[in-house]
Amino acid sequence: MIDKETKTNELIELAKPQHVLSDGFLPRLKRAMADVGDFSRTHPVQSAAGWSFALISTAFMALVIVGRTDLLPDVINFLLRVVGA
Amino acid sequence: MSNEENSDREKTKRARQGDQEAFVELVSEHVEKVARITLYIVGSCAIAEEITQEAFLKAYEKIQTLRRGVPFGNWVVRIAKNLAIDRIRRSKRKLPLVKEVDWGNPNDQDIVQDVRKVLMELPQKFRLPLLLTYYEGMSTAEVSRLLRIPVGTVKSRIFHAKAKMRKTLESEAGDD
Repeated sequence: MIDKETKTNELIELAKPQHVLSDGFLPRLKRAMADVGDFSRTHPVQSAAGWSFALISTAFMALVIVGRTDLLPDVINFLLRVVGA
Repeated sequence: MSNEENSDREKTKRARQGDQEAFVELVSEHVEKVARITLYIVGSCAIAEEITQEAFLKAYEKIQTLRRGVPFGNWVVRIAKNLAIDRIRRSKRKLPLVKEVDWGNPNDQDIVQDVRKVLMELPQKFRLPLLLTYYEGMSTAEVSRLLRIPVGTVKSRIFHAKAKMRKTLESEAGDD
């Protein structure tokens, strides 16, 4: 005779879902990933602005850490020359 | 550390460096589990699929924020779980997602459909620990970390979930 505990466990196991995703799921996800990956290409100005901001922030933090904020104008001039402004 | 964990770490490292193929490999390895866990929360394959896609896209965009040492699978499961709970919360008034029991094959036996309905009618706090343990083979410690509840609470919720499930099935059998 099967006890209630075993019967419950068997029923739970029986109800386990087999396939959740439809067949086209992975190709659709890859296409959506490609759209996300193209951000730099489709939004070049925003992308460049983001990188520039990150670069200047990092330089500023580095100067604060070494206690040479007096060099900030020189560093900004240097970075502007690098990006060709 | 197992070979599987090592390979996962290696792929995660490559994905962080912008290797899209490595990310796709990680997706292939974890996508079914993520989809199933999402299904346990929302109760509908179609909605679980939407949330799974959203979770992997979010992981793709935010891969740089994944802390070193955190397994990719655990991270993406957590993202999907949060998105699913958020979806339930937002649509509660309009759409009782958990009532729409659709676990794939409509040709499954009646008893299987009945058990799934009973499982989905359990409160989420009881249902999730039970299904994560039974279907995903997660230990109580792993469930505890994912759901952020103590191990003792995981054990007691599994016990109560099974008791409630048994009671419902017995009363339904008695009604027939």
